[in-house]
This record gives sequence, structure tokens and C-alpha cells, in this order.
Amino acid sequence: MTDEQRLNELITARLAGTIDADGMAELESLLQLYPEQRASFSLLHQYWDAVPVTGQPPGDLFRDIMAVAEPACPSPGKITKRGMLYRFRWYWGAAAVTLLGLFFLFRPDGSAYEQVVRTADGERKTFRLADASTVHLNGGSQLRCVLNGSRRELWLEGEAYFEVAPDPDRPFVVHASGVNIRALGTAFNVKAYHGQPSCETTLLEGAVEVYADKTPDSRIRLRPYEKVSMDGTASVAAPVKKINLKTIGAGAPAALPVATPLADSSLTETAWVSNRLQFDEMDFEELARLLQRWYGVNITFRDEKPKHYIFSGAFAGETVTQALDALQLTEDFRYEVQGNNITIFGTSTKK
Amino acid sequence: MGEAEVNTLWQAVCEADDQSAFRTLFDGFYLRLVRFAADLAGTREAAEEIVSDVFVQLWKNRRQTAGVIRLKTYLYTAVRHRSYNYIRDHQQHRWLGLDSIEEPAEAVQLPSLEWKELQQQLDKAVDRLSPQCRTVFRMVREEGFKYKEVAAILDISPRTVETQLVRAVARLRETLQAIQHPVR
Repeated sequence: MTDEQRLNELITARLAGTIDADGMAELESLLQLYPEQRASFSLLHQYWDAVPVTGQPPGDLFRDIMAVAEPACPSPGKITKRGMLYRFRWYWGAAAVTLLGLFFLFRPDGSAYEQVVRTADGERKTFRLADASTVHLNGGSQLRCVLNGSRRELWLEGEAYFEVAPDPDRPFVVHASGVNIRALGTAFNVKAYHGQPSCETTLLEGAVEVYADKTPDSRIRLRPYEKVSMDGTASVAAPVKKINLKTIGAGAPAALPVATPLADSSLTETAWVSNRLQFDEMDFEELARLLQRWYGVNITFRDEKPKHYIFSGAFAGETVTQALDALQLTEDFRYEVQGNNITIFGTSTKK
Repeated sequence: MGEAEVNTLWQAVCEADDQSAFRTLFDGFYLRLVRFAADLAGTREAAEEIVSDVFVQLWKNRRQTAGVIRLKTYLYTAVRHRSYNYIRDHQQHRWLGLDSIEEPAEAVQLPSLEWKELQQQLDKAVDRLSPQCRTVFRMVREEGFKYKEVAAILDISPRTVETQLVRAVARLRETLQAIQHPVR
């Protein structure tokens, strides 16, 4: 059997869910052997999962069926079977016309198609855009992408890491909470969750320009390993400060192999891309929000005191309870788990 | 609709003649079954008639079938039987499972394809599959049936189900490759 045929078998098993651990390993090693197959595999996987939602039949159809199935049912006159079929064919026609109308109304002109990707809390997705840029989307996030011949524009709520495919003719612009990040062939992270005061942009490679909707003329240019927090919704633009995350020696960026994924797992800002939850001097209240999104749980505090504990650390494969147990080693608190809900309370209130 | 929900609704139909539960089942399955029947019987009109008949019979026979069936499999099997009877009665010659009628995938010349367009291209590729291949693909992907269940409903061997599904995946991969590396 050729590798090509074997790939078909393994991908089929993966999609249908009949694959075992050995099969997964074999699939992975084949994809490493033929890296060009990985993109089409992930597209196929996306397609497989995006099952079209079937609507509901017209309401009268059920009455017609019941009139035949249960002739004793009170029904307006006697409906013959022929008549019934004739009637519901008419409904189908009407439905088709309505759908066609909607189709033409809402079809965007030109070839600008929109793609929206969402992640639930506790879920992370990696996907490739049509321009070959790669996006990692963190939990509880939503990304709307509009790509066409002249522009690449994305709207983000939540957190995402972008590895942008170079294309000088089509600027890559991310919009997040009133802040715009404009890039050309770049790897960068954007964090802008709803309810978060500002939009954080961290640059790993290349160059980006960051500017607020309200002050498009005052742009901040980031260099690799610089980070900027900007409040795009404030009425007066707050003074913005760049933070240097890591000093880099002269010539260091040039030495980096361009094709490797650049999410630096040693960096707190981008650790999530490598499936690491990392936090640095974060208070428990904020960390709880992070844990909620990471694990898809609800966390509430019964007492005020634990909210202000400060933690630094990193989790990779831990479950949420293992993570909380680890936090208990440094600070005094207790927790209760009920299904998906976790309550945290100080030790003094519990007898 | 999950299996547990289907079971609960079906139980309410059998034991309490619950028409609103029956309606929920009808609303959930009708269009999916019509699509399945259309694949087998060839026309949408025939498919609607077949599926409506199946629901009429299901309600009439609810007492006899109470509890002894797995409803989803029963519905698909019943629709298949009726579809085959329909073809027999209408003396239509259909080429089931013959790959020779599959048209080759078009070499699509689009340098940058958006997700929606891509989906449409793949949908078209599915439509171009042989009838049996397409039916198997949809039953596993859209209805979540296991190979064995598909085999039982269509009265073919599980091995054939797998072969057909691998064939479908191979076609879709060819389509994707044609899209990603258009022939100039």
C-alpha cells in the first residue's frame, strides 16, 4: 500500500472516530513526512465538523401527516393523500423562493467572504486562513475574518496568536476593543477579552503598528519582544508605554529560522499557544478568570480575602483541581467543586 | 437531538400517545430523512412521499413497536426499504455503487479561497460521489452512525462501508489539493 492510500485510511479513521492510539501516532508521523498534507487534512477536519444545520419542516406538514395517521383527529374536512402531497409541495416552493431571496439579499458583493471562528471556555483552536497565515485562538474567544484580493481584516474578541504570511499588497489588520494592529509578515499575540480594560499586543517577530480608532495618526511601532497595552475605548487616549519583555542581542532576530512557529513558550504572553497556562504576579481574582477560560469552569469567591492573593506559576497538563491543589501549597484557601462550579473560600470562615 | 432525548420522546409517544413528543421527533428527523431518501430514490418528490409514509406508519404502529426498537436506526431502515420498493415499482434503472459514473474533480483555479467557497467546493465534490459512497459519507458525518449501523441499515458489509468512506475521503483530499495547487 502506498503512503497516499494509507493516509486516506488513517484520515478516514480519524474523522469517523474509529482511530486508536497507534493509528494516531502513524498518522502524525505520516503528516510529518508529508508536511504539505497537514493543511489539507486540517481543512478536511474542519469541513467534517462543520455539519450543516438542517431546518425544520413547515408546520402544517405535521398536521397533514397526523390527519392521515389518526383519521379520528378533528381536521378541517377530509384531506386525501394526493391533496396532502400537493399541499406540501407548494410549501416547499414557497420556502425555496424565500431562501433564494435571503441568499441574494445577504450575499456580500464581490468575493469578500467572511469566516467566524469561536472557541468556548476551555477550548483552544489552531487553524490556517486562506492566505496561509496561522491563527491560534485561545478559550472564550471569537475571531471574524474577512479576506479578499486587497485586504486581510480580522476582528477579535478574546486572545489570539497570529503567524502572518507575508503579502506586501494585502496588509493584515486586527481590530480589537477599539485598537488596530497592522502587520506585514509577522508573529504576534493579541489579548482583548470582553471586560478587560485594555488591548494587549505582544510582538514576537517582524513589525507591527498599533493605533487606537480615535487616534489613527498616533501610531506605535513595536519591535520584537515588545508589548503594549492600549485602551481603545477611553475617551482620552491614555499615555501608552511600551514594555520590553526580553532584551535581544544585535543580530539575534536574523538568526531565528523564519519558518519555525515563533510562539515563545518561555514568554508568559504566548505560553498558551504551546498549551501552557502561565501567569506572573497575578492576583487570584484575575487568575480565576484565566482558569475559567482555560478549563471551562465557573469560579466564584465566597470570601474577599483570597481574591487578593498573588500567584506566579505555570500549568501544562494539570487538571483544574490539580492546579488549585498546587496553588494551595503557597496560599491558604479552600475550594469546593460541584459539577462545573468551583467555590473558593478562606480557611477562617470554614469550621 | 441526542440519543437519550430521542428515547425519552419515543417512550412518551408509545406509552402516553404524546403527539407533541411525536412532533418534536418529526421536526428533528423529517428533513434529514428526506435527504437520505432522495439519495436512494432519486427525486425529492418521491423522498417526501416516502418519509411522510414512514411517519404515518410509525404513529399507527406505535403500540406494536414500543420499546423494542432503536428509533433512529428503525427510521433509516424503514426509509431505505420504502425507497427500494419505490425504485422497484417505478422500474427505474439506477446505478448504485458504480464508481464509473463519478465525474473527475474539476481543477479549480482559485488562488485564494475563502472558507465558505471551500465548503461549497467540498459540498459539490460530495455531490459528485457515487450514490452509495455519498450516502455512506453523509450517514457517518452528518448522522454520526457507526460503520456497523450504516451496514445494517443499507444491508451491506461493514467492510464496504469503510471502503466507501475511505474512497470519499480520498476524493475530498484530491479536491482540496486541486484547490490549493491549481493547475496553471
